[in-house]
Amino acid sequence: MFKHQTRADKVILTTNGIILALIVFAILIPLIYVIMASFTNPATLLNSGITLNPSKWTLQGYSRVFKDGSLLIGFRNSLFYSTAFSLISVTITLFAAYPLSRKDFVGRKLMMALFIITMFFGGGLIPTYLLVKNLNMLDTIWAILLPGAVNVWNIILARAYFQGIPDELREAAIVDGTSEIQFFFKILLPLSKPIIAVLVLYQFVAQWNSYFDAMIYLKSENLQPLQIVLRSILVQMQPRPGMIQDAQNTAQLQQIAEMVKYSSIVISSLPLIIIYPFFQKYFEKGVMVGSIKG
Amino acid sequence: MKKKKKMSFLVTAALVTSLLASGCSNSASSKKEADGANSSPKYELKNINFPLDKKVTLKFLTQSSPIAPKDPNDKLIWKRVEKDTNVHIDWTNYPWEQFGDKRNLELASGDLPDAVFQAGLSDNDILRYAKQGVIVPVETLIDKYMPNFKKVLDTRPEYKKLITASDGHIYSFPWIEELGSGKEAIQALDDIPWINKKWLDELGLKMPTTTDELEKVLIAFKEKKPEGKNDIIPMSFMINHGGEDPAMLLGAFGSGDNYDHYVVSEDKKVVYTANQEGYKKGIEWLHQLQQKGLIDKEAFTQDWNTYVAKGKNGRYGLYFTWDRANISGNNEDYVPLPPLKGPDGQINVARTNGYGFDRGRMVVTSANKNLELTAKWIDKAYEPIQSVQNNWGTYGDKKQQNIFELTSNGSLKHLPLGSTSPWDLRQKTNVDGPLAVLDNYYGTVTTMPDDAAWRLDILHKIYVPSMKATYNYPPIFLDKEDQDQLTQLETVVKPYVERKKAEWILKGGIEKQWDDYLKQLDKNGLPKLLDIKQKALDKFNAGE
Amino acid sequence: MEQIYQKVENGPNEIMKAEVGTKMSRNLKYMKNNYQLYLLVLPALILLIIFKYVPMYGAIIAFKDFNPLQGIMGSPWIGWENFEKFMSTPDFINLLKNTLKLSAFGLIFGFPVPIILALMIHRIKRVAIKKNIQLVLYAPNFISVVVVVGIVFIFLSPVGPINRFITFLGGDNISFMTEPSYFRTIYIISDIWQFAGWASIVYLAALSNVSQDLIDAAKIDGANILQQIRHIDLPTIKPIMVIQFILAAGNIMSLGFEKAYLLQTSMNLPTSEILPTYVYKIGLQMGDYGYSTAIGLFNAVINVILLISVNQIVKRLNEGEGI
Repeated sequence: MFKHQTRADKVILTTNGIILALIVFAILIPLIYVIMASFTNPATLLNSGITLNPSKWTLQGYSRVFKDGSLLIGFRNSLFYSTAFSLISVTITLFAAYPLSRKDFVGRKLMMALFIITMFFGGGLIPTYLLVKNLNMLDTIWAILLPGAVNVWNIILARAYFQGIPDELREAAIVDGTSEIQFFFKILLPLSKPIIAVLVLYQFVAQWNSYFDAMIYLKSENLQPLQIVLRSILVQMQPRPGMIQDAQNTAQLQQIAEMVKYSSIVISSLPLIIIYPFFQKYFEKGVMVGSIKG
Repeated sequence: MKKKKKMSFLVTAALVTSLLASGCSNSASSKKEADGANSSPKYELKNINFPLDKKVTLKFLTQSSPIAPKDPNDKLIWKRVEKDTNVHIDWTNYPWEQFGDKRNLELASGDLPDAVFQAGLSDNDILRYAKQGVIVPVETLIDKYMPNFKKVLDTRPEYKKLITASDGHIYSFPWIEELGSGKEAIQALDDIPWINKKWLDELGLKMPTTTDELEKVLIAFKEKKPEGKNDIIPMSFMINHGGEDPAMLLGAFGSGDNYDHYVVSEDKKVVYTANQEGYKKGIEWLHQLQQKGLIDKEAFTQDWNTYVAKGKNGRYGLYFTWDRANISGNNEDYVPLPPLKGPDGQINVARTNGYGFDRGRMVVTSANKNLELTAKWIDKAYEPIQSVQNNWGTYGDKKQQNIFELTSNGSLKHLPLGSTSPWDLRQKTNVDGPLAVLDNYYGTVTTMPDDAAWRLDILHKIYVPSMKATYNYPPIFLDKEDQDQLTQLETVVKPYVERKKAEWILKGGIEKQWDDYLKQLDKNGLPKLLDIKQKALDKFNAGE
Repeated sequence: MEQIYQKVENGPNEIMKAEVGTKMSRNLKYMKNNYQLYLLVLPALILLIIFKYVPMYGAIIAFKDFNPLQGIMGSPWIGWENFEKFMSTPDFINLLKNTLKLSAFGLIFGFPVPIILALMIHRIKRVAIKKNIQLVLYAPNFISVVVVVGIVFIFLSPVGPINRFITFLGGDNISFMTEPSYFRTIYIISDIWQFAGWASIVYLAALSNVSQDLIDAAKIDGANILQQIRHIDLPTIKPIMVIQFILAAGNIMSLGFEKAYLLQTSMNLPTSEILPTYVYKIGLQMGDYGYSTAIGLFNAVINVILLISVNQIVKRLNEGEGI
């Protein structure tokens, strides 16, 4: 009987593998395109597609970016912002999600409503900007780290996760005399590695890719994050419409701009792709001390 | 560690709340003085002559290219101006791509600078800020303190009309760059058709003079495969994309077509190009070309880079753009196609409504307490020799390459730049802003840039003689209600017109759908649109 | 549960008072005993109040003719004018329909994909392969929308690879980017291509947390993979599925303008012109914060209605579990 099931399973698993392979293939093609495009002369690229002919390859898309000294600063800043932001945000999120996950928590409904309302209604750009200004946070790191730290979607996600952890665990802990905070830190959090990893990853990447807040609130050059640096390098090469321009060099610049579009992506995402495997292990087989569920 | 984090957080929170309390009262105040850390104190200077005895500072908001110096005062032009005037400008400078948002935010937060330089304000913006009292009228300043600018306006009264709002006030200082004027202006035609001379010669074909001949030439390109090429594209364009749109060809059928679809008849009436019989015939003809496989399959969707790339590979028989150097290079492989005679024997080149004029280049805010000083400072920019430099670049810079050299009679001569990109150099050394370079400056104060001179020559020899229209539609300054309505209506009418244009060329059907199209245009508000524009034109011509 | 004894002396009112008193003092007692819980939620609440609630007074801009010199509170009141202006936009209904259709279809088709992906990836045994599959699947998330649209244009061009493939199979060239009927499909599929992988992470995380005992027990019971998925995998991720769905429904009107704007061509406007792109185009000219705030409020109201409705429906189908 076991053998029979294993064969059916084998079929399913094989089909699974094949479909996934196809999906991966479908995704890889444009990805490879992006990577190769960052090395290919755009004229060639747009005429005959990616070419394996090395004579048409060029590093200009990258050299233009690296030539700009602010790139390193951008990297350093983004590293800082993303790390600090994800730490602050996820910490606050987890802290808030636990009480909200407790069914007996007095004031739960009210607080949930308070949180959820902010997902839809807000003052908008001007009052928020004025607030940040009045708090003297303009052109400081705090304008990046604080206003967006409370992410209600994440709180709800974390709350759902916590709700999935059986009550008996907590009851047993209380019987043992543990306080709420001790329970939270010593028992609950270690069991929540997957959701923590997810949230940190999401917030880190969201901050890494973000542009708007930094553009609005920051001015000093040494505070600029990577995305702003990359975009300004790109813009440098795009002449403004309406100017009687010098066509020859305009055309050349636009070519490089085309490449920079692609190389920016590679430069910007490479670090993330490198870090990701470290998060990977938290998604592996769970750490659920399998003693409770019966 | 976590507990400590919580504690410090609580402390911060308390701090924040107290700051908040003070901040809250600020933003809740009902009438805010247009005052703030961003504008300069009152210097009480009168009867100002430059250079001032004592140096003072003005605070301006501005934008510049990402490759320009972060502090505009690092530019040689500003260094010289500061020396001449003894006025130090404290610049708040943002890169181009951020400036729009940042300018709006700074103005909205009520903390106004003395003035905004290179303000990039649309007509809507100017009228709105004027109405709100964020910017102030400057016509009295012009009369009292600005002889250079006044001279420009006296020489060219139409500019005075163009910068005056319907309430009679002037709210901004313009940018004026004349390169030719009237029909001879460099903007008169933007989508020059460039035909492949190499192929014409190789196939022994004569330059086409009628639409039929062009069709035959395109067919020949397609079938005879000059240069043995397999990937010939007889005609390419980017539909509805300004200088890359084939509108120019429609002149062979009547009044032609241009970017905004407005032309002005000889009796000074505004005519919409896209509902004329001639337009219908022209579009139908283009559809015929499409059916014969003579048009680039990608012409209806391609972006600039794709268009350029194929051009660089010499695949086009005929294409459209402002300057061929952008696409096929600075050589004689492609030459301008002269205006064609249509089936009815008509020849016409529709003029664009482009002007070397930008209304909202610089504005003075209501926080400015030094109006005479500011006005006189701005007036310096309208000095001919200063305007020329502000626009293009300067001379005598020992640290980097120069756009100009200063000749012995005090005029500026454009220098050959070798391999340097003039575009790059200009971004780094010019300052833009309000200025006026009039046609009569060329040959006296300065020379004309080479690429401009060359293009003007082409227009003059090949296209101007066929421009039937005496008038075009100047950038008239409408009043706020009209401007708002115009914007609303155009956002519906123009996309519809252009969508049908593309559809009909690609798929045909214009004859059948024409009547419904006209009805739909009426429904979308075209009559009202034309009415607004006509009234404004009449008022403008009456010289009010 | 403690009882608070009250001497009932004067009838029903006293009883009600007693009960209310009981509830309130019960709550206070709870709060006192569990003060740590309140401490935990405090940082989020503080930040929430400061950065979300304090600026909320600014929503009033929607009802005002904002003048920077008079500030938000001092600007003149114009009531519903901005909303009227907005809703009298020519073609308003069509724009709204296009927006809703794009968003709703995106939700319906896009929602199951990350789930399916997670279920599939979860079954891959070899860790190395699993890791690499994931890396590939997550990568598109990092590509900017400008580049994705650029790729779409290139691939779907009349002379691009897809059309070459079609003509190779004997079919006719399809002009994808000029036909209004293709716009939504292209938009949604490219969205799925770009984001489904990344979105599957949260489901994978939950799946990886399933107790091994449970799985072993199921195997011993003879459950095949499909049954395992039905009885173990799906129930595990159900809470997250529910939340994600409800929240997504509550974001239907929050479609950004950028992607649709980039995918627009002269000819696909009948489907590709949505409220956000129209507002963006108008906004460029009008720069009116009051107007754009009004539009934001309009969207928010629709979103809230959708959220509450979907939440109610889901609660009914899901034994009371919702938000």
